[in-house]
Amino acid sequence: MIMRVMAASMLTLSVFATVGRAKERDEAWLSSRVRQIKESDTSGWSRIPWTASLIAARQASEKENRPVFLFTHDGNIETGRC
Amino acid sequence: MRVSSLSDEKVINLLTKYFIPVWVSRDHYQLAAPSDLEKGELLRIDRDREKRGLEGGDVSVFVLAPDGVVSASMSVQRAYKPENLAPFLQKIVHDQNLEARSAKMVKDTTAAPQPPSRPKTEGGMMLHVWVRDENMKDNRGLSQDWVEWTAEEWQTLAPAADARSGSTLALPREAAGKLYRRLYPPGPKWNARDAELASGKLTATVVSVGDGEVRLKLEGEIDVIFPATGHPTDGRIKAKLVGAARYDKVKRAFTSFVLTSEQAEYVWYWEGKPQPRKLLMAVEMER
Repeated sequence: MIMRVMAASMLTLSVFATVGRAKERDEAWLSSRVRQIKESDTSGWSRIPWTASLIAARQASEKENRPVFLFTHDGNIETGRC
Repeated sequence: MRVSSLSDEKVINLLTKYFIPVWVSRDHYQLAAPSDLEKGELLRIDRDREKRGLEGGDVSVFVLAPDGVVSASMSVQRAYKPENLAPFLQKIVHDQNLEARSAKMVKDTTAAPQPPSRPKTEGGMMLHVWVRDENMKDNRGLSQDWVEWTAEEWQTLAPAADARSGSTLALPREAAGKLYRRLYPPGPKWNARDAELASGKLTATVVSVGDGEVRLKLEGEIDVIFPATGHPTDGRIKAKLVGAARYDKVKRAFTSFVLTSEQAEYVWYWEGKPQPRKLLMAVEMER
């Protein structure tokens, strides 16, 4: 959690720092900024070994005799549109 | 949930070791429609939860016993906090004396990663789009989308064979709109269909021409209403984009294409008052 906050803070700081400079936007700066943004996601949820479908989860639950954890929502958790 | 309790180490550990975890989107946004079997099973679960008088609704967590009975549930209003969800799961592990799953068990039931998005049209170009709040205080994570420009669309930015430094190309409004309508922030409203382009342009200026390659500078301006409901208090995204592209003159194709926001702001309204938020945007061509 601390690492995530630090990473996000560094991203924010670097953004402010670069906006303050002269507007020389070379390819290296642009690529670096795109990389910083796309790598700034909170990705812990994606390490959970999600099952492909509710039916597959139910089948595995019966087979292993252990509970299903079901999270229902609107939108799409994978794309952050939720 | 995504950036709060489901990204909490304790919760991740409990779900990985002791449960069969699965998520289901009620509206299947950006996803294939569920089978009749899956729809029926979700309906059965909802009815079982209601019958048992357990808390919850459309956005909830459920724990299902191996025979499918809903044994526990928690509404999102409580479950999004790790300090509520972790003890809830820990109690189930303790009460049922659950043993940890083996690595093989976990591997056997884990969904395969989604394949990368590919163009649906001949010669189409896929653009990967990311948007997030600049301020972590409002953090709902990073949203990502994919946009396809047809060959006809992206070729409007492709330099001619005799292109010289300084020459400028402009993307048609419709193609710019395709991309810009996806540059809305992650939030409680998530559907791209609710985004309306008020204005938008994207230009490419030739910076240099080499033997086989042309380098271009990209500049864009965005004005998108989101969600567009026809009211003066609709949210509005205004941004300036900068970027760069490389064009292979022999292959007649872009080999790189990146865009990012230099200034981006989303203004939404709460009780009639504007609530400005700074955004960060990134766009990159999929290779």
